[in-house]
Amino acid sequence: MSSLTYSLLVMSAPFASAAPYSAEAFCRAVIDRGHSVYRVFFYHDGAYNALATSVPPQDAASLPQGWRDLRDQHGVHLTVCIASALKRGVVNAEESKRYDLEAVTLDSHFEIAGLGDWIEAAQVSDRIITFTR
Amino acid sequence: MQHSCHLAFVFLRSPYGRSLAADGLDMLLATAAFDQTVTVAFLGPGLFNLLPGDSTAAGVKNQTKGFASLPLFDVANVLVDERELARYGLATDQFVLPVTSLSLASLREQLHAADHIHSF
Repeated sequence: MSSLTYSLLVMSAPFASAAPYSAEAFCRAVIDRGHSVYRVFFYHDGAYNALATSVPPQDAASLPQGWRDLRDQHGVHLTVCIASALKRGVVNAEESKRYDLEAVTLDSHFEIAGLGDWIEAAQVSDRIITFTR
Repeated sequence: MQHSCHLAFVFLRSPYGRSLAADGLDMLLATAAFDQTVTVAFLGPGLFNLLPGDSTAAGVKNQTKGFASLPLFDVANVLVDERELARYGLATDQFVLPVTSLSLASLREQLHAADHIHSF
């Protein structure tokens, strides 16, 4: 069985929806079966997955840690659309400085980029899976 | 960009209640601007994105004007399900751009011809 390259489009926020949890579990399942995940692109409300400042309830699995593990252990690109991120207050140091904001909120495992990165992922991936509520 | 891709975009939701259709439109326009082959379908409440927008409540950015510019981006393959026009009380001459009205089976065939499908 040949190995496939997947990329994921995540458009929902943690806690508001089960979708991002399914996305993270799907990533792990794909990798366990010997396929690869090239990029997870966080668009629309999916940008909230990239917050460094989220505090999940103690009795819930940590989805932020799940994303970080996918980046650290498997090199999955975690890319947040800049337009989706800015309007939701998900900002790295550069954007925070540019807009004179009080905080840096982007988790360091995520990168901010444009839609071009998603279009590239669609071109190089065998399968695109979308997670929306 | 390595190679050209055929991408399909399906709009399922009406505008304004949620802003997913607006973000879908941004992705569609970016994809067309990168010279990719694009097929677009408006299904169910998604059809309401095709109506001319009237003025919106103060503070809410217009979400549908951009759909009228699809022909400028060489996006010509715009599909709707012919049965849904009657179901939603709509006619293609109300829409802000030309559409092809098809049977669901034909529409589905066209979507399957795409490399990837994005739905909003």
